[in-house]
Amino acid sequence: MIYYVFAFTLIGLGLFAIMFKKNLFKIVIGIELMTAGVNLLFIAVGFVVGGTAPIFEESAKFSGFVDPVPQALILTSIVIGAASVGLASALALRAGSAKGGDLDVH
Amino acid sequence: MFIDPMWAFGITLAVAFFASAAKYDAKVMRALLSLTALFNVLVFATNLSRAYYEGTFTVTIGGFAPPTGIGLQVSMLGALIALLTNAALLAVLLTLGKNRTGRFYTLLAIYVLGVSGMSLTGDYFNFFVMMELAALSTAAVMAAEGTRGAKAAFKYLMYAEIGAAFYLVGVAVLYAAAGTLNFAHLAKEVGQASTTVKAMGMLALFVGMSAEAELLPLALWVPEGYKEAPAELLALLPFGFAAGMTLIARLAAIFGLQSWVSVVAWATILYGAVAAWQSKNFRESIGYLSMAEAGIVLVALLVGANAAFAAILLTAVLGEFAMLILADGGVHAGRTAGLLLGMLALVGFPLSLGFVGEVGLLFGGLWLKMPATTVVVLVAILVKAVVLARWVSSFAGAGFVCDKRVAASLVSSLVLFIAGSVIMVQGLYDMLAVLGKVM
Repeated sequence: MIYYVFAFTLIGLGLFAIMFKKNLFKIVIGIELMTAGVNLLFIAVGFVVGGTAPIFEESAKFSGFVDPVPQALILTSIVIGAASVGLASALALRAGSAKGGDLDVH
Repeated sequence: MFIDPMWAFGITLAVAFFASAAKYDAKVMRALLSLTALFNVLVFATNLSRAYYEGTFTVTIGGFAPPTGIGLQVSMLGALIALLTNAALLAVLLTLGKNRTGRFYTLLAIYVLGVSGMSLTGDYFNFFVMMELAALSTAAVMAAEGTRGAKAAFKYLMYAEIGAAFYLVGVAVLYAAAGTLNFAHLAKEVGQASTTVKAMGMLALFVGMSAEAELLPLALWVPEGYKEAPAELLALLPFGFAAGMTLIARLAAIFGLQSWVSVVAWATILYGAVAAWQSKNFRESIGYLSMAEAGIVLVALLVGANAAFAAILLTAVLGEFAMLILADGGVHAGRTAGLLLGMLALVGFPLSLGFVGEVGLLFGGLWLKMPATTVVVLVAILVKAVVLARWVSSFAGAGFVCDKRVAASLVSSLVLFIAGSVIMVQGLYDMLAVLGKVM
């Protein structure tokens, strides 16, 4: 349960930063926070209390594994998130360069 | 004859990957991308033909059948949108300016790949990946037009990323409830989930999709985006909107649409129509009209008029393409003729597909089920007609120039008129049968 609370708190903080912050880089940080919150939410979805890593071995029981699918999805999400933040930062710099480096939204 | 649609995705990706080996040479990339678009049109035409005769079919990737593996779910509507997107890319490459870099064309390839993938994928996480491919390439291409383009691109990216986060929350909720990422499997499994979970998942996916589908609350990037996008991207933006709408149609089929969706439709129609009326910029006003159109398409889904939904969606896409490909250019009669024909199709002039869609919507249950919404839709159609007529009259000028862009615009509009005429000659019953199958 605690993971869900943390996840939605991060998503909320990120959304707050995107909606109310004026500095472009703070907005980019907001995206990063939202992405982190969503990633945590996925991990929480697949989590099993007392579960083990989903690795099949001869001696291992075929139960009690954490769900590996959300973890695989998150790997994709992390890569896409990194690309988004990289592109957003470049766009912020480019947009700000015309105003002498001023990165505030007016 | 059937060609596996994965060839289209594989070859487009290979061309994008090849860009670095070709040192991003603009001429090489432009030629390669034109050939790729032509090949993709052929591939998706065979898919469309198969979907027409056999109904929606599944294509597995890597031999892993869904729901274990990722699969494509090829419907007539999805194949048609993928085909039209690639045909539009070909038209754009053959008709618009040639002073772009190789990187620009690479990004356009990825955009078209993303939009085609969104239309055809059968997996709702894979849909997110395709949506992000389209969104990131859109933002990067938009930034090609200097500082103002970069500002518009930043704004677009913010809305797209908020949407992506909501979308992923929806994916997490539905995966936890149904244990699958496949649309068809989800439709079977989600029935056992609680109403609250289904409503939460549907809401999150809907909000997540609203940036691409040009619906409120995340469509506020539209005016600036349409105003600042490079001409090539501008002409292709309506296809992203269509791909977004295909997801909402799938959600409607799985979950049904709750009453709050009609509030979104009303708000989007009214906001788009009023802002288009007030706008003094052609590109911006078409962007606002596109939002109003998105609201009307949503109304068709709410009423359950599938045939009208398909007709209005296809009209919006091709009609806007016909007008947007002529967005920049001098005042001459050729341009006016292209805009006029696009306008008539978009407004729903008799014998056009737009007319068929609007009649299908009004008599398909809208008047009986949602009388107040009928008035809103009719007012929006009237505003659309006045705004577009105003633009056409302002572009009318002496001297006739029929360049390649005018030809592409006329062909696009004529397709709408021919399709509409055929359907009207066949009669309303056949219209519903044929267009209903598109879904």
